[in-house]
Amino acid sequence: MALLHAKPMQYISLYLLKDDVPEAAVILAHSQSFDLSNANSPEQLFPEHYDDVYAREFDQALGRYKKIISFFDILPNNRVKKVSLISFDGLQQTNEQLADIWNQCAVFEARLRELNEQKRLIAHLKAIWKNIALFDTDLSLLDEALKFLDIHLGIIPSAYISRLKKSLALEGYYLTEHVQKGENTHVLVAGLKENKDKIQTLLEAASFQKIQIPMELHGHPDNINAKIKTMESQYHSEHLHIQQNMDIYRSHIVKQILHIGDILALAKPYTLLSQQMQGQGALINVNGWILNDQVEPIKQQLQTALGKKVVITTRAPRPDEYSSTPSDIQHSKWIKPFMRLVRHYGIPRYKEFDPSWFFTLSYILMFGIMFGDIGHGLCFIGLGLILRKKHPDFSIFLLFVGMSSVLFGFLYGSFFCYEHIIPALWIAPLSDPVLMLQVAFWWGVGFVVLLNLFSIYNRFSARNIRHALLDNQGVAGLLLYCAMIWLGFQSINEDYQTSYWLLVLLPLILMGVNKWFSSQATHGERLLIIIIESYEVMINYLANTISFLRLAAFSLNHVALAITVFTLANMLDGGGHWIVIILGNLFILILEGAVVAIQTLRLEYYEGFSRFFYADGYQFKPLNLSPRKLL
Amino acid sequence: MLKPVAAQLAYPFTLVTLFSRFLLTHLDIDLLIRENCTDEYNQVLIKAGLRHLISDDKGKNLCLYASEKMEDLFLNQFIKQSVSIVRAFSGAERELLIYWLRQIEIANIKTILRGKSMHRDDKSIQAQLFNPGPLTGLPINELLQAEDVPEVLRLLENTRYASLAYYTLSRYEQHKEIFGLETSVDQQFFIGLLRRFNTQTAENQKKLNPLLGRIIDQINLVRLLRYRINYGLSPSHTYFLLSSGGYRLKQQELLNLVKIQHIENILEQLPLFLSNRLSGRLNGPQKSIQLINSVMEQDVINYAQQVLRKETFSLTSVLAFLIIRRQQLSLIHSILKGKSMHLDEKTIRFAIGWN
Repeated sequence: MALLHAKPMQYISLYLLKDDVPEAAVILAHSQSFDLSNANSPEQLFPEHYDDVYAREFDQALGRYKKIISFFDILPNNRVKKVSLISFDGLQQTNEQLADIWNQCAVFEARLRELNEQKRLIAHLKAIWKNIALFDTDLSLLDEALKFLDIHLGIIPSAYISRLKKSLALEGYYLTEHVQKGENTHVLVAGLKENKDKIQTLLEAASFQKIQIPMELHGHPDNINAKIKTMESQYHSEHLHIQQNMDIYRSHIVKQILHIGDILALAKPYTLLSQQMQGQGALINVNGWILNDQVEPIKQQLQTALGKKVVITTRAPRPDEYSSTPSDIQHSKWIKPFMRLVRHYGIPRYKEFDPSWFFTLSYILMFGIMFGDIGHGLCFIGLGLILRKKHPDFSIFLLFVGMSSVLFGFLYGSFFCYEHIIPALWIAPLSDPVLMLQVAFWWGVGFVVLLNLFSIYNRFSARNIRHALLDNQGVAGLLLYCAMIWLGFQSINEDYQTSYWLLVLLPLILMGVNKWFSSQATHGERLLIIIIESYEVMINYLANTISFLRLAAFSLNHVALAITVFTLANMLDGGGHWIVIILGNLFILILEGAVVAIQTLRLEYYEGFSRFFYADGYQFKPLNLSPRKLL
Repeated sequence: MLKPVAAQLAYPFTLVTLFSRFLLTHLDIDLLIRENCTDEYNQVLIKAGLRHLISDDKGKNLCLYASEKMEDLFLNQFIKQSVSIVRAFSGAERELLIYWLRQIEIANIKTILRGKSMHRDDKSIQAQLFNPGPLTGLPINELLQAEDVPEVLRLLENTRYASLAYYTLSRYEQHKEIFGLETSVDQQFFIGLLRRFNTQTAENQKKLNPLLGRIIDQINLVRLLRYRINYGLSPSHTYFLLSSGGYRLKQQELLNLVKIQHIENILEQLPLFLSNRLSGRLNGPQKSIQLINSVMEQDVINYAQQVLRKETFSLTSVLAFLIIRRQQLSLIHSILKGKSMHLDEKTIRFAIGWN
């Protein structure tokens, strides 16, 4: 039943010699079935932790590797080409190679930043030119050595202007602002030459970037514009040049980087083991979780490689360990987008019922009930097909909800909000709203009952028998809910007798007894808690069920919105009519589609998952030898 | 009936009132310095919300135990309370409070920059970082893995500290020294604070000005003395590195003070409110700067306490609470650390500037 549960797991303990750990790590990683999470050694038996020199070297190398991969946009191998052991010296050498490559990247990065600054400077020169052109002045005058005056033309952050002005005034200098561009302002600083040295450090502190007036810009402003354009094209060609150099360098190192990726992937398992392993002297203990069907193959591989120098013991996880046992849940790619939504809420605990299939089916159905329209459903399907390559997961999601919309569209007889083109196979929602509400109500009852059954199952699986029987979401809770529904039904049918309340009281008493013995509070407090909580349980069950009336409400809402669109469209003739119809349908498709998607998720999470799903499990993350998974 | 603005502030102010019971009086702190693990001593720690420091369950006397972890513990408690208050605000007010709390991350940025410029290894830098909890906005691992200062700053250019990083990097490219780095970071922080102050309503600005202004006064005067006397910077350079927006030390007074070359003459020219409190206590340049710092810090705290007592439903009172709480937690931490090092009462008093 792996479809509804995580795969069976075993707790595995390895006792081996310290020198054999690297080889064992590679074997375990190669099997992709061993996870180290939440498995520590007994501190009294294995008190020694080990120096993490290897791990530190690995972390530094991995940091550099990630930066290089992202800088050059390299896709690492999915699997290592050749399995081998990576010694500390080998790792150190790899780290040094990475340092050399990253140093070269840093040079490129710094050069790109310089070019960025140059781009900014050109923009400022353009701004200066616009200003200077008004004064009809030769820019070279600012650069010439003057006898008494010290002049600086440059850019500073606008935030510094006011303070720098006052600071410069202390040294007898004057600052004038010219043009503000972004967060910077270009300024002219002038003063007597005798204080030149003092203001140099001040200008540096103010991040003053001197604008060197290039020779090309000397001369009359009329000719300058063309010269700035030349500078711009120089900038572009330099940018292109650096990009080309980067491409050449990339092609030069790409093989090396892929090989380094393999080395790091091979070093990672031992790094992780070395950080967690404990021992005494040369004897090491490593614990973890292993897939049940891999226990024997792994035992054989380790014993073949290490001979009698390894002792392996395994056992099934204890119920008290279920919340820390990793869950390995695999499903077909078709329900992956829905699984993601389940994971967003939480990961099923080991042995807990995996709600992915239930979620997928109920989500698709509830979406269709609330948004039944053949035309709109076909739009979702179309969009799903368009996005199938770029966003495969979202595409699957759209295809399924689209198909559900089409199915319910046929049942409701709705096509792009037109209710009379296709005859309803079942019912047009607005023709009998009461029936729609009744269907939604019974759907809610079914949903709550089913989820209570899941909850009971989960509690039994966790060997939590008392809660399975007597808890709010246990057998007692389910009996209470059924009794409440039955009582309500009987009173509607005017077949009500006071003795029927006993059916409600009995499970309440069972739940009360359970609470009484679970609580440590005083007797008075316990009684108060039981009364308040019993009241709360009944209200919650009622509210949960009524919450499903939104299924009917949204199917009616869809028709109501359609009526609004048609009323508006009918006020116009010809083209106007069709524009309103198209825009109205788009509005319904996007806005109502999004609202229904969220409301369905809300029903799943709050009326569903919160009732039975512990969702505090750990994702099974086995050691692996994939360079791509290093990122 | 409450005014709409006051009604909006009622919830955060209730939180402040609730958390204010953790604030200690002068007598409480005095008792903490004087006593050692007595019942009264424990009561003060409980009052400060630090019950977990009295470990009667394991029998370990934690009141004589201090560690770096304890600093994190204190900070966590401060952040937890601050965040719950800040969440009750919105818009410009929330922005200002969050920015104020980002000082913790600014301290982390400075630690990383200092560490990288001294080529220290990642682990030793990491050991000195504070954990800002829910306020975390820095990619700490990436920053620690950076090879050098420019790489750290380039990485910061992709965070909320982009402009701080941009200007600091520009400055660092001209002068590769740690002093410039730290002053640039501080300067950018106060520019940001002023920007956020300017987005407040006129009423908020009027109330915030005396409190924030006092903090800026303290920072400006201490920096002025350090830059002029200890580092020998020129008047213009010193003035440029100061922040705008003081309260009792107006910009014109700072302009006059930076022109003076010797500390004795600067001290003579200090405003009356300060010179009265310092008379006869100044002793040597270094100690004088220290004393001025602690006197001005106490001035900020006194004013914050006054705000907390008198103001109702205002952003200023929330900020005042945050300032006092942070200062008190750091004071308690210093006292406990002093005790764990078996320092005597007199030395602890001197070290924390408590008389």
